[in-house]
Amino acid sequence: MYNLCIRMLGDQAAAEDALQEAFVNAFSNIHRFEGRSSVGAWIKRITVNKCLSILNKRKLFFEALDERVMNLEEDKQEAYIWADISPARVHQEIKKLPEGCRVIFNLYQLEGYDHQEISEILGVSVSTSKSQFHRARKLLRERLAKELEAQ
Amino acid sequence: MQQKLEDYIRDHRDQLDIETPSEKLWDNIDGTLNRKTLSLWERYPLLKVAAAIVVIAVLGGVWYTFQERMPSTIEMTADLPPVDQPDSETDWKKAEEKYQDKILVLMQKIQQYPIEDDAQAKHILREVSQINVRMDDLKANMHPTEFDPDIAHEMLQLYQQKVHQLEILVDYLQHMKAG
Repeated sequence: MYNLCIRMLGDQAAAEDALQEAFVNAFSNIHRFEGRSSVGAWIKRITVNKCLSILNKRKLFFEALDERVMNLEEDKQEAYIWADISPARVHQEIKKLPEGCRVIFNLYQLEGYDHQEISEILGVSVSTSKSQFHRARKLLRERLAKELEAQ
Repeated sequence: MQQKLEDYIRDHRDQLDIETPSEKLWDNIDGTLNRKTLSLWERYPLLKVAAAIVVIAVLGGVWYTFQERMPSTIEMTADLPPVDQPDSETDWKKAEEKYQDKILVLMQKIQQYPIEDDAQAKHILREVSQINVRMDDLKANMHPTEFDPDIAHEMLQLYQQKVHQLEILVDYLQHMKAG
């Protein structure tokens, strides 16, 4: 949960605040847990919501991107031997992504939300969610590829 | 082995969670939860007594104010002088006309004051309405041609009560306006 928070929010202090509030909220309202999912999934949802509420206070901004351009970029992507990069390094680079696309990348790629769900959670269009995800992936790939090429 | 970055991330998803929060986070959560589980009453036991005193004081104040400002109909009409029974229809008509003139003057005075939000004024007007209902009932029982001195007498008593109530209302409104 803490890693989810830190990837969503980008810094340790905000992540700890979010996690604390989420856990206190979850334990204070444990009687409301209806058992429709696992407790872990329920707490994760509360934690994601807490992170989003903090991001909303920061006036999270999603830059609208042209989806067709991103699709062309998709076709040109090169395959690397990513195994030469440690997961810890990938984690660090995810934290450095711009806020808007980082949040969507985390929700889609790591937390398993689909674009429809993300669009509803964040109040953005599905195409914005997709384009921000593509943007995050492109930035991440470029940064990590640079490191691979330097090795 | 070459692969897409997303696949690589998916395959190593668990290894991405490498950071741990500071120790004090769990203490903070524990402390906050313990504070939350103690209710306000449990934390401040004397608060119950204080709250009870406040409630009693407020209710007492409301009751006292209500009693002071709302004299009952019995109290308001207890000191009225007895009304003479009219001997004839002419006496009855004259007496009725006299009361109606008084009521007209009083109503004109009352209309000068805004009484929509005044509970006391509304209370008195409700009393007046009840008198009106009783007067309407009596009028309905009056014979169209034959004079009934008993009904006429009762009607005059009601007129007297109505005038008295309206005078109380005018006094009250003048008093309230004066401040």
